[in-house]
Amino acid sequence: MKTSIFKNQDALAGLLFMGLGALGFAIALGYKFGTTIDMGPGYFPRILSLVLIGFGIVTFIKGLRTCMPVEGGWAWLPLLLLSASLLLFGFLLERVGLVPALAALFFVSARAGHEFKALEVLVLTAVMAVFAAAVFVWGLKLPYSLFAWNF
Amino acid sequence: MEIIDHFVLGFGVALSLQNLAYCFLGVLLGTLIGVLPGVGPLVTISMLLPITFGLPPVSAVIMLSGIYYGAQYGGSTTAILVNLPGETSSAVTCLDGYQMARRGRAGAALAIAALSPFVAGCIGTLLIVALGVPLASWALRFGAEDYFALMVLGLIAASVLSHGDMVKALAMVVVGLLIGLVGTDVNSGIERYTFGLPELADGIGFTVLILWSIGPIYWASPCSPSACSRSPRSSSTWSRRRRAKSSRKTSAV
Repeated sequence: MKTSIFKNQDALAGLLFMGLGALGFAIALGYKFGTTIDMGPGYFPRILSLVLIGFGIVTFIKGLRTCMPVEGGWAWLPLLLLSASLLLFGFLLERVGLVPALAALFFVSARAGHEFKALEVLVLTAVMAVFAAAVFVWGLKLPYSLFAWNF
Repeated sequence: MEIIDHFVLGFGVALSLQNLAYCFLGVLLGTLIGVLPGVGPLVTISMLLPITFGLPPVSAVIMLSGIYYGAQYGGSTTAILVNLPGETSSAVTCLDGYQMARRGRAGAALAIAALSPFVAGCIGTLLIVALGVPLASWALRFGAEDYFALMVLGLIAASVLSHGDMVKALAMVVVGLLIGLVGTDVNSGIERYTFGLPELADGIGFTVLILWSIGPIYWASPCSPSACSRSPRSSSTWSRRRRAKSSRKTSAV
């Protein structure tokens, strides 16, 4: 059975490992290597990256031999939405306060789910906002304002 | 018989009504806060430390140890119910605790998570009392080599215990180690993989990594809704987190 490399589970994983390893190695070239007796800051990262590349090659070859195809598609939208919701929360927390930031976090990340029920999310947001305010702001006295307007 | 005298003295102090009440309060608060993901015993203790300032020293220590044990237990609650380890040590609880919860035995899993540390804690305390003095002198000889061996054991065990392809598991160990390298190198003070961002100088936190890996759980979200796609994926992210965390320790060597 012949599968294209871009559908091949292990080959893709191997490529990913090799890419990460190469990236790590390239960045680590900027750090002093030192010697084995006196290791510089670049010693461990470079060795690790090489090991990772090695594992990547092994996985890649294994993928070429087993040809396990990738199952299912890429869920780009949920991935994007979930990451975006976290970024949005971090961005909004200091600017409009905890409660609006939480609401944004919940609504955006709920959109990533298989079904979106506005009422459910609304209730969840309200309950979690009260919970977060009670625990983090009132209970633990973390320096976040509930509502704010700093731009 | 000196040891018995010490026990009697200790219980006499610990079992007073006042100290028991502080202990209960500490466990209650510790569990409540320890349930929050990413808030481990250390963080909980440092946050609740101010509460104990006004207490007599013995009560304060008792309350703090209550907080510690409570927070330790609290971490297992989220691990069992939503497969999110509250802190590093409860990452292992996710393995079978979450599986039990999925089969409708969450109550049993929670009870086990509460009872087993009680038994282990009692045995551990007894052992410490009996072996404290000789252990202390032995622990001082626990050097860099021993820590290194222990970490290698942990990393190898992490990849052997995770089901699936060994090579990929080992590769993920290495990826975790690389993630653990982000931040200031303890030996030379040079910032590695920080891309010049001061926020990364302290490394990548455990909680951040957990939040980040929630996304990948959905990457392959293939078949029908929720249940079927989640379990295997989340186990792989579990190992990723776990390794990244263990690698953080290694990078400190």
